[in-house]
Amino acid sequence: MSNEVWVVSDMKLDGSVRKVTFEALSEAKSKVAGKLGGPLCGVLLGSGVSGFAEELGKYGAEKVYVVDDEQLKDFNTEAYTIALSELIKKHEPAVVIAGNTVFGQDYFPRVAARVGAGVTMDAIEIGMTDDNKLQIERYSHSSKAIPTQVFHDHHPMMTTVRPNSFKVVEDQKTPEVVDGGVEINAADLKIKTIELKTKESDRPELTEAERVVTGGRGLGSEENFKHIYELADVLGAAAGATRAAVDAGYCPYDMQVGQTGKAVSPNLYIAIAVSGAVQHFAGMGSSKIIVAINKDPEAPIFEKCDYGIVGDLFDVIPPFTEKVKSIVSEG
Amino acid sequence: MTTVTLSDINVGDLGLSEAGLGKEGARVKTVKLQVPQIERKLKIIKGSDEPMVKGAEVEKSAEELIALLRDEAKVI
Repeated sequence: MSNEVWVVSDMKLDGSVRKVTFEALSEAKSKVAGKLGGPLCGVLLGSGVSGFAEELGKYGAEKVYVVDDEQLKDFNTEAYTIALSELIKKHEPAVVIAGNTVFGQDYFPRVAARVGAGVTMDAIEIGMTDDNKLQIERYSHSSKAIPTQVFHDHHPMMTTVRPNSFKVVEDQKTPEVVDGGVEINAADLKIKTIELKTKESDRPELTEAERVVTGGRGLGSEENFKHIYELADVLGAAAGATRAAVDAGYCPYDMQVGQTGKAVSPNLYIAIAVSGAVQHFAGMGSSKIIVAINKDPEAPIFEKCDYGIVGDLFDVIPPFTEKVKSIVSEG
Repeated sequence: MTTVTLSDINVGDLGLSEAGLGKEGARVKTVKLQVPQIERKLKIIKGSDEPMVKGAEVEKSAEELIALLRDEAKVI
């Protein structure tokens, strides 16, 4: 077993590296690799991804393992599970970290099962104990509790980390690029991706956005969600929704924030016509600043926010959006 | 009335070992549980006569909120 600390890159649909990868590299550099005394390594899984090694080096990766395979062109759970688990078996790292994205949530636990590793998910703090065990903190019980968890002597120790939980710190290195030496046999895959349809959007991805504007069922219709989209676009924010709004058909499921949707942790979270149910709070409670706009003064969100306006969204949002727009245009 | 025969299956039949299950087999343990300490500012802008802002107060409340976000929270 080596004392290497790996951060597995999370790739966007356009082929670039997600910010959570740089956040994980930055945090793992000081809190994990620095204490363990091992090198910080990046891992690139995909097709035509070797060129991103330099980018990982910018955030402290001293070595980058690459599995560049046509079978990894579009995300395929099985192919990624095989690639990472075989890579781990071959090089035996001490710690493996990935972003808690839809991809990471999908294949990371499967990899852990294949290599017999312990795994924790959605960490908001990572570090090492004095006897070199990975220690993490994460939210539990609908974000009402934070357990601290420590790994036993099983290796590797694996965790995913919540996007937007750590600062990105540049630490320029020129990484050694290592061919992972893993081949994926198409015959071993039981499912193949035959087409990938993408949705055009200029808005940032919900889980890694610095600002999020979310609408609840109080919007009343799909048409009225234009108020959410307009404010989101003025702020350069992602647009989100509560489960009630999604269930009512006002917007698609991929906008859902909460226990049964996505977990977000932006600097600014604006909740419009959102009551603040515990299930919703489970997905956004770690936001740095929470703003609530709701006409019900008794809405639970007003007990959990930083700033709020008790008012009808149809009165408040248009002037609010116009004023934000003028601030943004003034630069 | 249907009689169902329950077969007796032990962990060995499933290819597992006792040592790999439960607390003994856990690879991670929880050592501490704390309540999140996020203190919220709870600055709520309300109407002067009733809870909801209305009429001329709407524009003023929007301006007030923007000032808080820009000057105090520094997020816009």
